[in-house]
Parts: sequence; structure tokens; C-alpha cells
Amino acid sequence: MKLKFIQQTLRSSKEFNFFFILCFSLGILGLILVESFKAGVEDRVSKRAKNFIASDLSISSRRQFTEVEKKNIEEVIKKNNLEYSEWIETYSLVSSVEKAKLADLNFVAAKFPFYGGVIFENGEKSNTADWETLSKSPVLWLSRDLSWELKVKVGDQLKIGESTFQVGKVFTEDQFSSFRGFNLAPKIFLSKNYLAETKLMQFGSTGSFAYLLKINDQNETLVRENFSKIIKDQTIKIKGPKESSEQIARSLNYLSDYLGLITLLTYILSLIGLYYFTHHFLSKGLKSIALFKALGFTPQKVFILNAAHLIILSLISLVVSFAAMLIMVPVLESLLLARIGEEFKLLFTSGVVLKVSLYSVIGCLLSLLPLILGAVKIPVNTVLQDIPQELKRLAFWYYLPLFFYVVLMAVIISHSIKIGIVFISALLILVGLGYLFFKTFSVLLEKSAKNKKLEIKHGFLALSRYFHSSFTIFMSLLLGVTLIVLIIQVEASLRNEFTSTTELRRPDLFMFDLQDNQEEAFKKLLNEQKLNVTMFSPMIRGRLTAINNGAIEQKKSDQEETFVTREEENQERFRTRGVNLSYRGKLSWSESITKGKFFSGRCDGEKIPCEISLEESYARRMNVNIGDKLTFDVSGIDIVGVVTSFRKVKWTSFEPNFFILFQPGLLEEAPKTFLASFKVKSIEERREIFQLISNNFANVSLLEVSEVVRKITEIFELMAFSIKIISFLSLAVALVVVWAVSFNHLELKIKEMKLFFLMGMTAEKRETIYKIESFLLTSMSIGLAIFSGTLITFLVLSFGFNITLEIRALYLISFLIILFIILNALLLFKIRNLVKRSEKALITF
Amino acid sequence: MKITVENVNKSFEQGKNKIHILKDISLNVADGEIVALLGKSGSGKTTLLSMLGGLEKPDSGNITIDQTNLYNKTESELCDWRAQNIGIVFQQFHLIAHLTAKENVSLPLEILNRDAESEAEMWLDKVGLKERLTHYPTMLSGGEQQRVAIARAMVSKPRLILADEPSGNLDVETGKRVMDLLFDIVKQNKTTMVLVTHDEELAKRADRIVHLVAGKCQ
Repeated sequence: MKLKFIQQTLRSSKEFNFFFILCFSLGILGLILVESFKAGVEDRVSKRAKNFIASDLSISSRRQFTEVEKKNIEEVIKKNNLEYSEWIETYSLVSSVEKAKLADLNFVAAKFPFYGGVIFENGEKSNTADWETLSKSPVLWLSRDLSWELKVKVGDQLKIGESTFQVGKVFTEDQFSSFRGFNLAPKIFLSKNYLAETKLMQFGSTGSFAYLLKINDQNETLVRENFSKIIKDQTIKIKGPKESSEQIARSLNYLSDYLGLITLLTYILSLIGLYYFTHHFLSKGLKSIALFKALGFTPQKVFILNAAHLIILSLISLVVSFAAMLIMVPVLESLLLARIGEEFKLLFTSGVVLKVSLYSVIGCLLSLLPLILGAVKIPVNTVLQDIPQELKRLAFWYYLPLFFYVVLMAVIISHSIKIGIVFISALLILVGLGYLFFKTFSVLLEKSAKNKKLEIKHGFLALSRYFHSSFTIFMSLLLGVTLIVLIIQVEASLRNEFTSTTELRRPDLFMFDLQDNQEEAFKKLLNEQKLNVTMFSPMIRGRLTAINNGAIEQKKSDQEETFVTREEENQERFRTRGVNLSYRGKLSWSESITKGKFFSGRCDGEKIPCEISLEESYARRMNVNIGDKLTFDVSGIDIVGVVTSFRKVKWTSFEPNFFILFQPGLLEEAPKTFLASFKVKSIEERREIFQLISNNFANVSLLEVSEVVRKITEIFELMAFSIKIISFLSLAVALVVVWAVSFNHLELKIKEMKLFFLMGMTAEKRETIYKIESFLLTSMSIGLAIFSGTLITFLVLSFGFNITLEIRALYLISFLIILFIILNALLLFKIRNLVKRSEKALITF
Repeated sequence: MKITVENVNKSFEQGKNKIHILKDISLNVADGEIVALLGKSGSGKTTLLSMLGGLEKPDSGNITIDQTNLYNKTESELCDWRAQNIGIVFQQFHLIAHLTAKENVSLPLEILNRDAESEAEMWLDKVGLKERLTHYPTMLSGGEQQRVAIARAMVSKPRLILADEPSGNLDVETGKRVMDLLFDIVKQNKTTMVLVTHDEELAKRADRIVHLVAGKCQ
């Protein structure tokens, strides 16, 4: 029986069903896209992280494992039936006929690597057979930089320790990370079989020793637990992909959080649309509801019938969105491939389906069920009345569950209570300001309407007196266009940050480890060779020990893995990290003072403490303010300074820079090394610099920045592409909502259009009234959205990405003018259609 | 206003079927006369009323008002003609919901580009709603809404009032009071009125009754 009524309701409300499904499907599609993108990112990061450690799990130590430890580890490996390999990393001088150079030596056992590899000079990626050749004879593979510095080629001999190896291959790129953290020495790969012959590993020799494990069907958590039980020494680390890829995961996680919030806004926009359609639909159907009640249906039954209708529509919307996603996935993946030059999988998994279904249906029900509750409260005697009834408005607390749900979603999506709450607050402020603006504007229109021409007067009144539906259109358009302005400006600003002037000034080579006593010789060389050095800076290792005499809290150990916000992650990371200090009297081109004053000359030794300038986000994370006193441990000596300024650093310049800068005059005598960056024109010049530096300073390391830039650019391209896709989707949702809401809004006016016609108002005048209304609504919301969108972009960029706002005024204005024309053309089409329809009516309505 | 309806036919397509609403209707209404069109639902009363208001074209036949064929006019001329000559009162009042009582009454004068405010106030006073000028329709009772509708129909001093079941949505007592008002005003202003009703008692108050049965005058 109930099913029959639901079928009848579905059949009799085709237009409502269509708009509901269209609007909701687009909203859900946004959520699916972002969730699939997030899952894809996690998968990519996890795969890349597996490449970093060449395995699923690694057990590593900075010292050689004892025999007991080895026995225990190998027993667990056997018990769990795991595949394993070994990787020993150490540093040593490597000598060719002409030169010697410090290199990062990687001795690898059979089966290495389970994941990842190296890219050879010819562009081919290493395969299993290649790695096997290493163990068959004393050959090695070395990086191209090193081959330049040592002036060797394939087939030449290199001496390592007490052994001689032949250069087997030269590689340009390797996907592995280092177990020793900040690693800049050029790499060499050789077989572990020949380690003993080199005699590099004596008692007390330093190095990293790792067991690499491949987990097939085994339970990773269980395997970890088994190893944790037998490993008592805290210096032995058990690392999975998650722990080894913090940096890249962080960048991509921030991206998916940001996209998530944009999508949440799109989803909220679609809920506004659904709310409006359902409100209109139920208002029209109030009499039927009263009739059902009159026929003996209990309010509960009427509620269930209507709720079932909406649930069915929600489920259909889910199916439509999932089907659309299935079609879109291959297209988007091929677009991504073309864009970033690498395969990127959008993971549209059952987990994503479940998550999105849950998110969307709960949101839909929480926003629409209060409407049905209001509708079923219609008195039964309405059946006997011929007067149109208003849908009863429920008190605000009926919508509190929806509000808390949206807040919760914002926090979950952004992984940050702070960002989640800031997002919701910004949204509420925007709605509040929008309301104030619209209310004020309506009052002004109302007042000025009185003495205006007929069409203008009624155009104004049509807007101000239909406040709720006008405000819904205004707000939908405001939110949608704000979103579009935000997306366009963020994308433009990010693009500007990575290209344009920054790209021109970006260095190509970094130089590290120049010792104190080599400074003068290096400067002399620079003068002689006219090298283009973009930056030269001292670096002193230290550890922050106290802020205003309060000791820094050490890392909490063995924290349970729970929901951790991004802020907690950051604080934990920064709290315990050793820091690099530097000193300099001038700001570089890539930095500017945001608070306080930069150093007042040299620290003269009497004016103690000396001044410190902090990078602003570092200061924020460490909760340090201007005037705070910081104490650092530098080689066992306490160095105290007072913070006098905060700096904004353009990190995308890739200029070496420091979170903490001291005033010159204090750290000059501390043990230090120097960093420098070079700008080079060609690969030949790059090779020349490599050889020049290595000829003169054998201990110094050089690093090509281009590889780092390539990886960052890849992330950026991914960001730009994702932002574009989401922006198209947001635009589509905003247009559908605005189009549907405005059409509905105009439909409501067919009665007055008929009356105007019956009273003898010409078609031209009737049309003008609604054209004025549409023009006012669209221009007001788009105008305000330019302002609000730019303001929000500024806030997002300043506090989220720490980059400068780039206003693409011409692009933005042209885009919005086109949007304005399209919207008004659509509305004009609808107005003309209604004006014509109203003329065909008989006196009866 | 003198109305002449000659051999008018009107039919509508309903799916594949053609329904003949009016069949060869002829009717004369003298200037200042009140004619009641009496008939059952579906007899064509409202269609005939629409044609008299220039809202619906006949398939064949002529409708002349003061010797002018109504349907020789252009759309724009018809609009002007309606604004100057016609006032309509509906069964369901049909006031514009977002306009106040005074604004609803002012509207016909504004369309004619005439001074509206004092005239509207005067008419609302005439129908006993002086205190309700700024009230919106939802704030008025059914009887009050119909009185506003009468004021709106009369404010432009039309020469023809078309009334479609004007008391159909009111209780007997209110309906009687409102009809008294309508008839008084129409008679005072010597306005021609065509009243559609199926209430024989109300029809009897007209100068003449025309029975419409299955699309034909009897």
C-alpha cells in the first residue's frame, strides 16, 4: 500500500524529481571526485614512500645489529614467512685516477629493491636483472653528478676502501631515500657481497643498517607488533611508508584538505538547492498532505511516505553520480597523464562509495526531514479551505543537527579543528554579511520604489517583497561565484608563485659543506671564474632548548595512533627538531619583514642578547612572539637571542634560507659550514661548475635543484588540475542551483503576471519588471562575490599557503561578465516564456 | 458599454479530442446593464467571460464592443483597451500577495499612468477598508480580500466589470454583504457588468439572466 503511494508520488512529481536528482548528483559528484582524488593521492604517496625505503617495512639502525638482534629479526622473518633483503649505507671517499670524493655508498643484498629503482643515463629504469649484475662482479653504479666530479665513465675503475670497482652504469635519478636523514652526498650502489673486501666496516664504523621486508598477504600491523616485541633498543627504527614520506604526503594532504573544503561548499550549495526545491514541492503539496490525513493516515505515516520519496531520490542521485564517475575516471586519468606526465589513478573504491554515500545521505536527510516535519503539521481542515497555505517554518533547533554535521564534516575533511571551524565561521560570516547587505539593499529598494516608473517600482518590489526566495537566489549565486573567484585566484596565485619572475631567478645548483677554512679560497674562485652565485650563507647546527627560559618539552613517546590534526602533527615535528642557524645583515630578494624591525647593525657583544629574525610560520608554530628570548645549544654552548622581527620567505624561490637568522657578530666564531646556490645557463656550464668545485674543494657536495623543482612542479600541476576540475564542478552546481531556484522563483510569479496581463499591462512592461529584478539579483551577488571571493582568497593564500595574492582582474572580470550574460540570458528566456504563458491563460488560475 | 456577441464558436484541443465549449453563441448587453450568465460547470461561462475581456479569441463569429470589433485590435491595443475599460473580480480574489491592499488597488491606475495614491485610498474607504491600507492579503479575511478586489476592479472607472463567481469563496452572509457592495458600486457608476455564477439567487439581482447550457445560450 505504502509502496503504491510512493510510486504515485514519484510519478506525479517528475519536474521536482529531475531538479532534485540533477542538483544532488552534482553535489555528490564533487564529494566522490575529491574522495577518489584523496585515495589516489594516498595510494601514490604510499607507493612513492615504498620506493623511498625500497620495501613495505624496514628495520634500521645507525649501528651494526648484534648477533642476537640479527637472530631474533631473522626468526620473526622466517616465522612470518616474509621476503627480505638488506641495505647498508655508509659514507666514504671514492677515488678515481685523478680525484677523490665523499660519496654515499649503498651496499645492497639480493632481491633489492622490492620497490623503486634508478633511472639510467639512457632514460631506462633499472630492472631485477640489472640489480643482479651488481652481485656477480665488483661493479658499481654511480650518479651522474659524481661521474662528472670524478671525471669517470662506464668501464673506468674506482677505488673504495681497499677494493677496486668498475663503473657499470651511470644513473641520473634514484627513487630511494636515505636512512641518514638530510643526505646530499652523491650516491653509489654496489653489492653487499663486496662490502667485506672494502674493509670499510670495522668495529665502531658508522653507517645505516637495514632489513627490508616485503609484506604480501601478511597483516602489516601484526608483523610490526612481532618485531616490536623482540626489538628492545629504541635506536632501532621500524619504518613503514607512512613514516618515510612525511614531506610529500604533507603537501598533498594539504591539497586534498583544501579541495575537500571547496567541495564541501559545493555540497552545501547543492543542499541549499535541494532545500529550496523540496520547500517549494511540499508547499504545493500541502493540500494533498492534509487530504491524506483527512483520509485517516497518521502524521507518522505521511512523514514516512514523504521521507521515503526523498530517500529514493537521494539513492537515485547516488547511482547517477557513481555512474557519471565511472564514465569520468578514464577521461580524467588520461587528462592527468597528459598534464603531469605520469600516471595518476583516481581511486574510486568501495571505501569511497561507502564514505560518500554516508556523507551525502545523512546531510540530505538532516536538511530535508525538518521540512517534512513542518509539512505534516498542516491542519486537516485545510482540505476544506480554498486559501493557499504556507509551509510551517520550524524553529532553528530542528536544523541544529545539520549545523553540527556540517561542522563535523568540515573538521574531518580539513583534518583540522581550527581550519574546520574557521571555514564554518567564514561561511557563517559570509551568509551573515550577505543577509545584512541584502536586507539593507531591499529596504533601500522598497523606499526608493515609491515614486519610480511602474516597471521599475514593481521590479524593485518583486525583489524586496519576495525576500526569502530572492535571498536564496542571491546567496546561492554569492556562494557559487565566491567559490569560483576563490578557485581562479588561488590557481593564478599558485601558478604565479611557481613561474614568472621566481622561475627566472630560481637557482639551478646548491653547494653544501664548504668548511670554515675554505671560505676565502671559495670567494677568490668566484671572482676569478665569474660564477653566478645567487646566495652564499653560513650554516650552524644547533638545538632550541628554551623559550623565555622555559625548557622545550620533548617528544611524547609511544603515542597511540588516533585522529591527529594537522596542527598537532606540525607542533610535534617542530618541537623536537634540531635547527640550522645562520647570520646575515641583509634580507635576500626572496624575503620580507612582516613584523618588527630587521637587525640594527652588528651585535657588538655588549648589547646582549643579540637580535633574532624568525620565519613567520616557524614563529607561529613555535608560539613565539616578538620580544621572546630563545636559547640554543650550539656545540654545547648556550647562545641566547631576542626575537626582533618576523620574516616572510618565498620558499618557492628555492633559495637556501633559514627559519632562524641571527644578527651578525655573535655566531661568526661557531663551527659552521657554508651553503651557496648557483644559476647556470646550460648543462655544459653545470658540468664545468661540478668539475671546478670538485677540483678545488673535494669535500664539498653539489646538488642539482632541477630534480626537486620537477617534483614540486608535478605536485603543482596536480593541484592546478584538481582545482580546475573542482571549479568546473562548483560552477556547474552553482549554475544548476541558481538556474533552478530562479526558475522556480519566477514560476511563483506566474499568477501576478496573469493579473498584470488581465489588468492591461503590456508585454514589454511585464517583461521589464522581471528583467530589472533578475539584473539586480545577478549583478548584486556577482559584485559582492568579487569582493568576498578576493578577500577569502587573500586569507586562504596568506594563512594556508603563505603566498602572495595574484589578482587576475582581466581574466576574472571577463569570466564573470560572461557568467552574468549567460545567467541573464537564461533568465530572460524564462521570463519571455512565462510572459507568453501568462497571456494564454483564461481568467481561471 | 454596449456589447454584441454574434455567432461565436470556441473549441479547445484536449489530447486527440476537440471539445466545443461555445456553440454559435449570440448575445447583446446594453450600456449600464447587469447580465448574469448562469450555468453549470463546463457550460462555457468563464470562456465567454474571457472573450469579453479580450483574453481569448473566438474560432469564429464576432464580438463588438461599442461598434468596434475587439479582435481586430493588436495585442498592445487590446492591453490598453483592457486597462482603460475592464475591471475583473474573481472567485478566489487573486490579489497580488506581495503588495499591500493600497498597492493592489493602485495598480490599475499605475498601469494607466494616472495618479493612484489618493484614488486608491478613496476606493478602499468606499469598501470599508480605510484602516487596512498597508495590510498584505494574507493579513485580511476572505470578505476583506474580496472587497479589496472590488476596489481594484473599480478604481480605474472601467466601463465593463467582468465578475467570475465573486461570492463563490465566501460564506453566505459575507457573500451577501460583498455582493451588495458590488451591485451598489456598479449601479452608482452606471457600469456594465457581466456576472458569471451558478447561484440563482445572486443571478436574480441582475437586470437579465442568460442561461448557458452545453455551450449554447437559452
